[in-house]
Amino acid sequence: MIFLLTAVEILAGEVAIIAHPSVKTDSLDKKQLYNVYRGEVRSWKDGAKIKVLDLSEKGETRESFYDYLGVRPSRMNSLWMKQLLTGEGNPPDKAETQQDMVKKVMATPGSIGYVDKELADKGVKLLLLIDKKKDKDKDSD
Amino acid sequence: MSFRDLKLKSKQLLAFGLVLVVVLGASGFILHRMAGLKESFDEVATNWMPRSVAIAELSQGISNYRTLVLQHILTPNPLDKKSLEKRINLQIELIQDYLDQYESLRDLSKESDLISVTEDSLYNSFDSDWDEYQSVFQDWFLTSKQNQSEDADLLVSVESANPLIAGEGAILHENIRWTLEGLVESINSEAQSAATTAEKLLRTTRQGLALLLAISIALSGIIAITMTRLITNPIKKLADATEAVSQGNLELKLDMPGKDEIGSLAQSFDRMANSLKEARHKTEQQADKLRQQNSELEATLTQLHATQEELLLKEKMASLGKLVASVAHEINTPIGTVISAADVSERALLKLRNSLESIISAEQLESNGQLSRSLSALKDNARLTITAGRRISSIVQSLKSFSQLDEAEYQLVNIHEGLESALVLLGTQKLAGIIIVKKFGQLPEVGCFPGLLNQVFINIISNAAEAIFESGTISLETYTQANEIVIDISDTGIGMSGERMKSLFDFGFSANASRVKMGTGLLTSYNIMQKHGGRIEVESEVGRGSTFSVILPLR
Repeated sequence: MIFLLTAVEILAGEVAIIAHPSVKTDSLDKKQLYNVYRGEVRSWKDGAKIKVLDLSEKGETRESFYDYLGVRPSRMNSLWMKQLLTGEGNPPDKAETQQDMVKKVMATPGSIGYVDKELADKGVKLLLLIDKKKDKDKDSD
Repeated sequence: MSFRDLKLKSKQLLAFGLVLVVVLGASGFILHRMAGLKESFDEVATNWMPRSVAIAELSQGISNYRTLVLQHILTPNPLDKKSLEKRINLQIELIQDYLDQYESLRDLSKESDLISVTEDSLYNSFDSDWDEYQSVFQDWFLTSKQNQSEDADLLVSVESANPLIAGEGAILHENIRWTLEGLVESINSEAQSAATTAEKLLRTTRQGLALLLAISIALSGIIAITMTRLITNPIKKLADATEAVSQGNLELKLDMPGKDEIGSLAQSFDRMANSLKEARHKTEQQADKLRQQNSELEATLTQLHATQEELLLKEKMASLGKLVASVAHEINTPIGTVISAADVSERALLKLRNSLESIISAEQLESNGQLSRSLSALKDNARLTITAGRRISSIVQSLKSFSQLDEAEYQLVNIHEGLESALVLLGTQKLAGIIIVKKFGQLPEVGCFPGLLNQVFINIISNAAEAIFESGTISLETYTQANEIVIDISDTGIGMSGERMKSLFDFGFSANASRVKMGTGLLTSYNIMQKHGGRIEVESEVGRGSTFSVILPLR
């Protein structure tokens, strides 16, 4: 049963947190990732500005990413909205598709984004791998 | 151990225990139902209603948010825009609060599995729309900021193209509104069904309660009746039995086998009645025995009297016999002389008459009246003397035979002689006016004490004569029957009543006490017959006469 479950998870795949190759940081943990995405942390360790990218395409990848962070996308959107209205900062730039996301990460120094692991092999820096959330699991939640 | 064997206390405890169990059961049932009801009410109060309220508030909050956003878009004044932005920000926080509130409620309800699939999917759809709506607003906001510095105239065209007023945002907002309405409806319908369930529970609880109440009342009634039957009825039975026993009915038996107090009381009662019965029975037995002994004593006394009488009589007879024997002997000689003298006188007279006739003619003799009369008178006297003498001789003979009784000699005797002898002894005076009829059959000689037997005959014939007042008949009939000799002595006298017949053989029965006590009652006769192994039977009818049968066995 456990083997079967593991196999299904492997099949479901992983989400990769990727960054521009120039980024010095090699890895991030969950808390750091959350703080970056909610706009609390705005620069890398070396002082370089962080450019946060979000996926506007709805689906498994986005759901799994925010589920990992422990926050619903609508809630994250509300946080960004507040920052925008109070002038604290802008919401992340949007990438329409995952391919678009990879391109934007590659094109923007200091950027951070997320895509399916299979797509993250074109010279981007891999910071973290997240197990994809299964749709079936989600349903039974 | 059956129920009836229990003590009263145990029975009562059992009965009250039963009632207690029923009441406890009822209470438990009610409490259980109450808990169920509370749960149902709580479900409505802490799940459905708050969730419904949270969604309604959320809906209101989002409507306000949209209003603020639209105002922000349409306001040309930058200052107004700024204050609206603050208000939008606050509204977002408010909406966030509503969302948090709803989600925490939803998570709680999910634990108790009180979320419908519809609600869950509706909320997810709302969440997604809400996310999208905010993204649209963000996009527009960023775009409008970049265009701020540009020509204000362009504003109208920007506004008309604003996806928030018409286009995508409007559709999203419409979706959100419908979704939230659907959510409220769904929650409310669930709440409604929960309320219906609760109401149903309440109704069934009420019905159950009524049923339990009825059962409790019925059970109490049954127990009360049973206890009454167990206690009152046996006590009444006991009281009735006591009454019956006090009135002397000792045959009564309660037969109540119970082992309780009443049962043992009943058993003690039965034992008491039984011992009373036994005591009475014993007393009766003793009384019977006493009576028997008494009658035995009486019989013995009677026998004693009879024996005494007999002894007395015997003695009397013995002396009388001696006297008679000597008198008879003394009289016999002169009487013989008288008879023979009279006989000689008669014959001498005959000779004298013949001699006289030869001397004088018969005519002369006849004509001499005096002589003739003297002669015939002498002749008659001589005849009379002979007759009287013979009678005296016969009386003496009878006396002699009578006097033999004390000798108590057992001899073979002709019964007929005894009867004749008795008739002679009784004499003409006693039997005056009475016709004696003799129907003697052929009898063998019988072994007996003739003196005693004669006494019996005299006794019975004398009694028969006494029963006849002026004239009548005494029949003497003898015959044999089946090894017995029967002597029937019947009279046509006054007869006897049954009462008198009963006391016939009692001691002292004698109608005439002044008579010579030859027969001291028939008792002596009875005793004599017993001595001979015989008996006396009597038949009598008042006004028709009596028959005494003297029966002797042939040996």
